[in-house]
Amino acid sequence: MDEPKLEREALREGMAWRMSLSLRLQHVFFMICVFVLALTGLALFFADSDISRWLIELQGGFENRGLIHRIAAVGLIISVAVHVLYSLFSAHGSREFRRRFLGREDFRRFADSVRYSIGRRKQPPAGGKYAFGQKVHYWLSGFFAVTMIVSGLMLWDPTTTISFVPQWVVPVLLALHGYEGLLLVIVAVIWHLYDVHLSPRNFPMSSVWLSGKMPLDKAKEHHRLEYERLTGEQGEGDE
Amino acid sequence: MELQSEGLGSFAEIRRLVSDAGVGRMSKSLLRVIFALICAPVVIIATVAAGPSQGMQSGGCNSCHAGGSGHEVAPQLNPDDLTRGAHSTLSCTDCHEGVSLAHAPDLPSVDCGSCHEENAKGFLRGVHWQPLQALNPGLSPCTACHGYHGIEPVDSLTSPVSHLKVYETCGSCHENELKLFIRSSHGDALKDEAKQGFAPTCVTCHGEHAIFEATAPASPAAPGRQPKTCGACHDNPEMAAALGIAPDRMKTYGGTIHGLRNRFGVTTAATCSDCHSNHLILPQSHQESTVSMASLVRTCGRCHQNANENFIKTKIHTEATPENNLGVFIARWFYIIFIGVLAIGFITHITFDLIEMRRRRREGKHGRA
Repeated sequence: MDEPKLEREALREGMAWRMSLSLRLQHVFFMICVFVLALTGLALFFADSDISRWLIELQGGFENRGLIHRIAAVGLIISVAVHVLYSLFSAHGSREFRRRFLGREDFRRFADSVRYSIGRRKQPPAGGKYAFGQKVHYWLSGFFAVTMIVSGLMLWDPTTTISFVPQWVVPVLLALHGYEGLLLVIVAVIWHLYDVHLSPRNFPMSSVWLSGKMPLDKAKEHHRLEYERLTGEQGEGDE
Repeated sequence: MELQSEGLGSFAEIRRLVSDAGVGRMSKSLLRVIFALICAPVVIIATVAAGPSQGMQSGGCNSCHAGGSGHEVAPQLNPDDLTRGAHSTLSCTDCHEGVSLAHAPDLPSVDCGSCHEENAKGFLRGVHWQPLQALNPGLSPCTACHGYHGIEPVDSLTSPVSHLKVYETCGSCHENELKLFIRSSHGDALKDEAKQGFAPTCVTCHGEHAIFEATAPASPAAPGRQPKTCGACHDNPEMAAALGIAPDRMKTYGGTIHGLRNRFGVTTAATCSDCHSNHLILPQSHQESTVSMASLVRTCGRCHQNANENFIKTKIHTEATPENNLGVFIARWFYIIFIGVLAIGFITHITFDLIEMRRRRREGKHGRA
């Protein structure tokens, strides 16, 4: 992939290039799987509520709900596997992957941004391509995806699992899988939903996930170091 | 006897009325005379009108069917049967409608539903009326369980459908079920005076009058309805405490995959009787019980081919507590706290975000000004 060329083309349109087509497709696929998993999973977790009753009916009954959940789980496993392979073996993927590592710098920037938010600092800290919150989000999603996949696989056919593990394991896995699913909906859906949709600066929606590009002024505001790298402008420093 | 006791009641009433009116000083003997004068005509008229026979007010029927007149005709009825029971105030023709003194030997069968309309309707929906009618073509099928002539109310101990007797009545046809039931915990409880108030009988699980096949959805013993039927007792904390048995059987079943499936109408989901059997329900400690440790591999194995010694160690019907599954407890609380912390973090995040934007807008305005 000719990354510099894509960046130059975007610059001519006044945009900062951010996401490769592959990453965008991975994101959409992951999102669809998570949505289906959440709707079929929460319907079971809150099986007592009327909404769940309605959801389960919508999903074609209780057995179908389980089937859909498992199909979406296969999708999620594939999307995670693809992402891992992409991050390890493609040139662009591995470069971006390394840029999402959390360093000491990120925590300093986060502290600065808090100071800025509460008025203790005049200028917002200069952010890289991935802001602190975005990195945290990424690693949490990864961690939760892996734990959900592992616990989910063990619960795939629980009767097989209980025929060889200690009796406390499956109940613990059930609690873990259920509550973690609830947590994921709160983090990945609600928090993320705020950031990319409901937040006044992006309302009704940030279009990066579709076009892969972000308006330059927004990039300058939130990802100043990346903006400077793309445009070649020299920054004024952090203060 | 009846009239006499009525008289005593009236006497007490008059005395009360008299004393209420302030004539308490009147002598007792004078009161008795007045009372006798008032009552005498009533007693005489009532005695004459009632005639020699009471109870079923059977008119001329007794002269042939209740002995003593010299021209007895079958069936001969026990005079006691006519004066006791729920129907003691009815006359023969209330049930044997349209029958006159000179009647053919075969009477039309009695239509109990002409009074017991609801019960008859239910009975006709159920499975019993056809076989029972075939059993005794000339009789109302109701008589098979309730008897006839001298029918006792259900709360009478001698009624064949009373709480303590009905299983014998059902068992007269359903012999195999009776044999199992009397050996079960339920049958034991029924024989134990301290427990029999809680004990279920046939009708508790199968219903009465409208009795269906246990697999029919309308039956209280149907798989879909068992949690409610069994739960009526086994979710009752008072019963659990009184009998010293585990409480909340249905609450703990409802959260399992069996319970959830059952609730959402999956017919293959295991319900109470699938594990505990039906008529011969025994405590887990009993060797013969389908849920004893010795039987569980076989019982679970009826559905789960992979049931083995490790499989059956899984606890069922338990609420996770720190004692029996610390892991579940920790996982649950870990995530509840985690979710709480994240919710707080989320709110802080939005607050900062909004504060920042407001500041930026204000600074922008100042900049322009």
